Amino acid sequence: MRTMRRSRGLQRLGALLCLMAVVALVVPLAALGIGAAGTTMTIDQTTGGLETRFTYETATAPGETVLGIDFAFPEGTDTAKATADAVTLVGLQRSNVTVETQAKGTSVKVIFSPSVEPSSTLRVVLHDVLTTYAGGKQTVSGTYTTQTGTHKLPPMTFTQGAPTVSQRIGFWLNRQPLVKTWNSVPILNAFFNPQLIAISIPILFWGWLLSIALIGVAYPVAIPIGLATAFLKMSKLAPVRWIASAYINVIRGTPLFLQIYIAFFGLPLVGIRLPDFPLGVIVLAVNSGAYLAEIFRAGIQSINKGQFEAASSLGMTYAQAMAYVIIPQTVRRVLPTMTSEFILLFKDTALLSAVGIFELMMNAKNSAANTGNVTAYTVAAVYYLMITIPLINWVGKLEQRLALSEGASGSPGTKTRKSGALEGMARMAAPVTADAGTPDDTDGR
Amino acid sequence: MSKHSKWIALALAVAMLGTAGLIAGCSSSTASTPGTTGTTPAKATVKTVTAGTLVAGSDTAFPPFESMNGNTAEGFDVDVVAAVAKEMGLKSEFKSYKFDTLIPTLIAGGKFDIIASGMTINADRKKQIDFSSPYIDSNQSISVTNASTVKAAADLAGKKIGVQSGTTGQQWAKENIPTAVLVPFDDTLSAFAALQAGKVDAVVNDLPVSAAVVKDATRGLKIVQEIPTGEQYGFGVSKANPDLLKAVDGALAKIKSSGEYDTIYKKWFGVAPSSK
Repeated sequence: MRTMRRSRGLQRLGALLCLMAVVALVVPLAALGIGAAGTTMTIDQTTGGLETRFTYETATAPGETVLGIDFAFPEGTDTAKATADAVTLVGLQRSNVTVETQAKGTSVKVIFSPSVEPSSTLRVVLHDVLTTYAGGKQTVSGTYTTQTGTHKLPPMTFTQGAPTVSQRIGFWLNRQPLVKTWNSVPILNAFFNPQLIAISIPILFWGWLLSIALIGVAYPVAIPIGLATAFLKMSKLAPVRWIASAYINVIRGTPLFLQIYIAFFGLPLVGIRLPDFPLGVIVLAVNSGAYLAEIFRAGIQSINKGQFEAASSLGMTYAQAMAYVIIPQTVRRVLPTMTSEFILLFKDTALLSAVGIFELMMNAKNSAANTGNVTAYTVAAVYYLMITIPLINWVGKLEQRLALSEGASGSPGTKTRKSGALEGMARMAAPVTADAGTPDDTDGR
Repeated sequence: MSKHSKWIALALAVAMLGTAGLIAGCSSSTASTPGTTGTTPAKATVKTVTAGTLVAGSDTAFPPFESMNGNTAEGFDVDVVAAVAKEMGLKSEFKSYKFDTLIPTLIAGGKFDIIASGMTINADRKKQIDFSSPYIDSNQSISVTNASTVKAAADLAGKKIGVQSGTTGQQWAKENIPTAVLVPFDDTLSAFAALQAGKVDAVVNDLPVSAAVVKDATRGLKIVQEIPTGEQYGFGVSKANPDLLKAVDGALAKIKSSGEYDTIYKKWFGVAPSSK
């Protein structure tokens, strides 16, 4: 009796073990079939109302041969233009599968030939499925057919946002006959595609802000660097002058592009790791500092020696003479050149796109690469010009004012290229405003 | 002085006009003389940018398919194009372009005849250009530094991923790891340089290229996930030049059947192409 019970207990245990073994075997098998865990459905558009590419990746179970899949998309989806292709892989080795696509209403049926073999990875790509305008979390269900019959496809979800304002404008433009005519001209379509202008403006705006932020921090940092270097270069001690010269010559003698690569790819290799933004700012500031140093030095040296002598005769020290007499006059003279340097540096922020900083140029490049259309570059050009054109005009005005104020003197001693080039203008303006010369400018002849 | 500068200004204006005219003239002449009209050998009836030469546009920072060895391009694609060109009775030449400019440049015409740049044949690109029949299979991969704790795609949520701009790797990463920040680079090798420099946490890129890059132990990189995408590379040909497409396909079939393709494959990948 006892032994019997015991043996029954053993039997039960055996049955349980058997059952467990079967479950253990079946579960992984079930997990391998179409639509089981590990199956993914990805989309290439994050907002609704666009022709979307769906990539469905799954695996067939051992013993499961798949003849076709019928995808049922949510209500409102338009599959009229949909096409499909597929590939099956065992490991990394692909085999060709031709796909017959039958699109009807909200469903796309794909039939594989040859059928998908057991235990292989299956990737089905559905192109140009027009999703619903409203977006949101949506479900794709359907059926699939194996050698044993038709089964329900485990549903998958995908999420799309509602179209942005610029995309809505794009949709509206799509429907306008005038826009269609406009885009039928290749050059207008390539450079001034209205839909892409609408979409690019907000995307590029953030890149534009980053470009402005880069220059907005870098340039104020570059000014003290430049000023300090200018004084070092005018030092009485030769080694100090050499250091300043070396810095100026190396920076001015090499492309900014190369300096950016050294900073971004070279420095980290020797353990100097900085986040992208500060590193970008440093490269720009160090680069501009060298140019500003030469601008400042030329500006200071352009002030007539007599000014310095006069200041000394009043009992001023070197520092006082610099601070109260020389520098104030220098500022006015170098302001146009400094502004030009600012414009140059602002445009050079575009080079940072090569090292993965999402400034204006990078955003434009991305848009152009994604759309195969260069309209984004046109929009980027407008963004750059919005900063540079007002500044260019301002430089013009500054130069004019400088020419007028120095008109009476027409200093031949100016060494900066800009003020040198201005002398002709200054002389021409001189007869009209002969008395416009500032009283502190004793440089007359 | 002012008289003098007037003359200089005039001379400059004339020079500028002259240059503009020259550019216009040149572009129209390249457009109108692409090749071989009249008495040419029967073999070379296809139109090419430079008569007698098959010029390939390529992003030559994509070993082992194409990379620069000094001034000359070398790699699997380079050898295949040379063999194809020879079959067509032409010489071959490689010109370097950024990957994401290849398709617009091919469409614009006049610079090169085919794209040979490890370019995956896909539907989006097929809308713009034609592709030859596939010449090699490829897949995707995720590479990280040896010290990285990243084991698979799932670990990259919210991280920075380096990709090459305009590639299928970029698409894959964007669609499969939507929370990651993608950092596009002009070329693959720059993306790997950024990975080494710690600027990105991983690089998603074509498997054969990543494998070739991480093989260089000094880089300190490894592949943590091979992604079976079953992509195939093809040579891109302008839709305006269907004769060239036909000729390239014919030549490709010939070098495959003659065994020359296998020889090139073995040279660059060390194994014979797996038969299907």
